[in-house]
Amino acid sequence: MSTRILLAGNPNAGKTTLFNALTGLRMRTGNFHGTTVEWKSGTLRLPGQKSSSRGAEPDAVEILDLPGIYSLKAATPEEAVAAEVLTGHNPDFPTADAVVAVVDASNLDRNLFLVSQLAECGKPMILAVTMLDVAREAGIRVDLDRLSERMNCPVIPLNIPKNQGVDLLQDQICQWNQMHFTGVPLPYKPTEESLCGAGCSSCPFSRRFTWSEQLAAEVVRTQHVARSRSTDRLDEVLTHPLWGVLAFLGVMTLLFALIFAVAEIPMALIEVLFGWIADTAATVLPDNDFGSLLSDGILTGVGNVVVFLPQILILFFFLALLEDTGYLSRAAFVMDRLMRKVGLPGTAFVPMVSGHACAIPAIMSTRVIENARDRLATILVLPLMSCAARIPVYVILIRLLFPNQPLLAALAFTGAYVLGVGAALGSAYLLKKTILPGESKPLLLELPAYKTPGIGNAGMHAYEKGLTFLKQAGTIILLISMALWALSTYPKSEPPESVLALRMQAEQSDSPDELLAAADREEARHAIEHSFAGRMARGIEPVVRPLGFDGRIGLGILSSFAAREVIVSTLSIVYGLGEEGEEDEVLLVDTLRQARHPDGRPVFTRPASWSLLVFYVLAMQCLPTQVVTRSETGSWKWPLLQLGYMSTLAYIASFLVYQTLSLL
Amino acid sequence: MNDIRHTSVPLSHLVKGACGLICAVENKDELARLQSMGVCIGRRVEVIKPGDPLILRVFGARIGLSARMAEHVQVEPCSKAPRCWEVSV
Ligand SMILES: Nc1nc2c(ncn2[C@@H]2O[C@H](COP(=O)(O)OP(=O)(O)OP(=O)(O)O)[C@@H](O)[C@H]2O)c(=O)[nH]1
Ligand SMILES: [Mg+2]
Repeated sequence: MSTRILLAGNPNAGKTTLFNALTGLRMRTGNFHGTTVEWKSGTLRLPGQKSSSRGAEPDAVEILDLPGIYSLKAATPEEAVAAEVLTGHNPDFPTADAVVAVVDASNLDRNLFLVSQLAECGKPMILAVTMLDVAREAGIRVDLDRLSERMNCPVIPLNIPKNQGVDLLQDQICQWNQMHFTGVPLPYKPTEESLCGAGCSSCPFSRRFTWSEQLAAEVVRTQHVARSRSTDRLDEVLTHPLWGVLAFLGVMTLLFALIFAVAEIPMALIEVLFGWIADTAATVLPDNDFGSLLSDGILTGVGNVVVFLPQILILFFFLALLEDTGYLSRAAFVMDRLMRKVGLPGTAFVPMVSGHACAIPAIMSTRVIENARDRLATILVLPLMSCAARIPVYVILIRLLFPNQPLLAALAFTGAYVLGVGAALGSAYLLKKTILPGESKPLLLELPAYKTPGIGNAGMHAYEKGLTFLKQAGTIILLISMALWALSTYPKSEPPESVLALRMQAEQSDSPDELLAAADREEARHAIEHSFAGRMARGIEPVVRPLGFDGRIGLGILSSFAAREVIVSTLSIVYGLGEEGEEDEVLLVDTLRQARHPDGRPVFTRPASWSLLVFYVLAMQCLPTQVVTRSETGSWKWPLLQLGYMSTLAYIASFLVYQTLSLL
Repeated sequence: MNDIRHTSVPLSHLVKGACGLICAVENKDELARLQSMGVCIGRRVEVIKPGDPLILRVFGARIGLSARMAEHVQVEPCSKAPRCWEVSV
């Protein structure tokens, strides 16, 4: 029979830090059934035990990191779940043997308030006291022996950043069943639970406050009255209606630039690596369907999954650092009033900014949004932000539009971003007015004191998010990539006459390479146009014609359904440049400019290019994002809605742009 | 009860640095959330920064609160003590 120990405490009390110290990497994460509240569970690293041994040995001690809560009276989903687990009513974790109450020494009053409720659950309890160093700096000394005596349970002082006290706590946890637990002496009967309504100064809620304050006053020796003046002074600026917003924009720009610049290196490496593996595989593997499935289908698919990891890791690493400093709650505070105008809370702003790098980590980061409706609205509009994958498409189209006018080109670029943000805010507003009605929850959040962040915690957080992504979305993205590969590969077609002719010519020529390459390019073009995808593109041509697109652009749009940037390589193939054509932007843009309809009109006219640009700003075109939307909302309904409204929006906007510009 | 209401003002009316003793929380929807953060009858609060949203000190912690919510919290202005959010024992 294995043992389960719960870690409970106020937000920011140090539970996760303690959890990481107790379990290391031996942990699993998941959501509590039917909620977006996250749990983390790990096995206690016992002294003398190899850290590689995983899983449930019979005498293993499982540690469960509960979400940070202020009270057991369920006011938030976190509190509801924590109360369920502590009282043994949670289906995911029906039993628990003991509770480690993590208590922040720098604010004992409030932390003990929660402890008074934890004590009522009747489980053996250990008090783990953190932040003693912070308390000491503020002139607070805690009489731990007295606390232990009054609480009638073991009290362990911790300083995990300095690695103090963890061994002691570990020993104590292992002896949990030898503890003579007689319960914490509380001055009120736990059963008389009632709402603290008007005028009930003697209700249990209020009496608990009084109890915790009295106990805190008894065990705390305050040497001098110290209040964190530096935090107040920083807040003067950072929560200022104007300076605060400017500071926030600065911080976010920096974060965004970091994700952009730093993620580019590993992403390029991953692309090169997978390209190399695919090339090598192509030479080793048999030149048949199976070989093609392995190298073009599976390997490319795995690459499509892995390529998101750098952005996810980097974003969550820096977000965790920012959160740890205490700044993120200030950001939510200053943005709240502005975001309310479109019906979203201030906490929605960080995901919205992150969405400009990639919608996937941004959607994963919407968990900071407390209210389920607000979170859903944010998730639904996030893919409208111009993510990094749109840039190659924007570059090609804007070059087509403004070949030698850098200023206008820059303006068009900015315009594309502004259009995305505007569409997202507008859609959020409409969603909140229609299918997701209701006021968003008014702001109520703690603004913790500023402090230097812990790098280790941030690393662990990023690692967890990476794992979550691989586990929840990786397989589906892989399957979808393979399906799309099949669509653009089958049915196979015989090489056309022109290809055979080129090859014949090559055999007789002295310099056959050029001709053979041309034959290959022609064959690739022919193959994709006769595949299922090509046929579907011809099918939708009448639909996209009012937007100014021909069947080839239609094929590009179809093939980039899984990932927007794919349209560049598809256009390159269908316009006869082969797959490598996408690397030579100048050549590609020239080729596109020369492209003609069968009747001789140019394809990429000004109206058509604008129309395509607007289409790519607004269209969904990213299956991995949809998979993540599904895993974060728990239902396929929402990604389908996302696809539906974004495609409609893109279609209508492109239609209007094309028709209007054509009239001029 | 009545004479308390007489002198009480909404929390959102307090100026910077002012203290108040909470005498009524009329915000039924958010009552539980407010209570668990310490905004409950009989607690003292200090306004660190008025405005919308405003910053309070209650129960030893800084809390950001939207003015809409603060309007529904009635307080009785009281004198400032070194740790005024604490009810004297
Ligand atoms: N100075 C100091 N900092 C600590 C101590 N314990 C934890 N911290 C820091 O406190 C911060 C918050 O710790 P977390 O472990 O994330 O807190 P948590 O309880 O998991 O918070 P939630 O998950 O939000 O409920 C981190 O920056 C830690 O490095 C300590 O004893 N002393
Ligand atoms: Mg935590």
